[in-house]
Amino acid sequence: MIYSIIPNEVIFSVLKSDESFKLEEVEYRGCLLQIAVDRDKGASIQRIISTDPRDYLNQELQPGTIFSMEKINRF
Amino acid sequence: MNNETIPKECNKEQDPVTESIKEFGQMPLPKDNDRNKQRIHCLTIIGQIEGHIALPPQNKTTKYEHVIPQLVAIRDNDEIDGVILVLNTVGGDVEAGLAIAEMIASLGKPTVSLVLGGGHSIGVPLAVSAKYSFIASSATMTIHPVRMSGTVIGVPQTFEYFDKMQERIVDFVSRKSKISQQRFKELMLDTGKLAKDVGTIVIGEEAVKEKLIDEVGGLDDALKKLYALIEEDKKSKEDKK
Repeated sequence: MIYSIIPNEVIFSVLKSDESFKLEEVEYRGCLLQIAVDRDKGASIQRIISTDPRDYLNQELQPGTIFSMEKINRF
Repeated sequence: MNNETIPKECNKEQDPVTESIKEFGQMPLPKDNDRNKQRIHCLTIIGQIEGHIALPPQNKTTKYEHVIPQLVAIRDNDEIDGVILVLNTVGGDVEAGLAIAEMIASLGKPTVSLVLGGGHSIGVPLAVSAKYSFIASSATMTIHPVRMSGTVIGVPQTFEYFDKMQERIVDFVSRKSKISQQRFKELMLDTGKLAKDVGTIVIGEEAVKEKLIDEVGGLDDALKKLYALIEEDKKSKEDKK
């Protein structure tokens, strides 16, 4: 049961499938990341899922950072 | 931790530092050597609270399968002294929201919540679940009845079911904040405030006046309060020893 100020029709409306919405979750050095995968360009970090404030200061994990696909495949 | 052990620990930490400089020519990250400082974690609750149904990808969501294990890890880790909960949510799944709220309320460590932007619908129980709560003066909270969706059978039992769902929320909020059940229900069922809906929007100071939230404030206030709660918590633990 949804209890939200956003109407259910809006929450469940299906927009045109946009590639940029396709997010995957990977774990990198003990930190859960949400990444947008682009087969050519690699994967860019969209969001860090962590409660440790220090993870957000980690240079390697800054949102927008692009991983090469090879690196992703090794996860 | 008592004061006598600190110098010893600092000495211990010296060795790996010099070793790291010698061996790798670099300083190790200043991670664990400053145990004097209180260590806090930050839990952000954003967008929709996602529960049993996976929401379409255009929704920004906070998923309980992420948050619940994180809270367990925080409880289990002695290095973490307290948690700040930052909310900017439009509501979401009742069960997931209440589950996370109950987890926070029973964490056993100091917690402070800060409502920024919005803490609507199921965000209300989440905001009050912390030991102490703050709201930014521009932040809003919408309190409204649980709405119907899907197939609704026109029998008295349907009303009863919705009433029970609502009761769970009202009960939790009145238990964890200073607002009375009756007053919270009044706000929830008010017909004069929202243009197209039943309910109330409270903004910053109003939430404090309604005794829903403890104080109006920002990040600095919230962190100062959290550090103070951690100190109190440590003292009470030492006294018990």
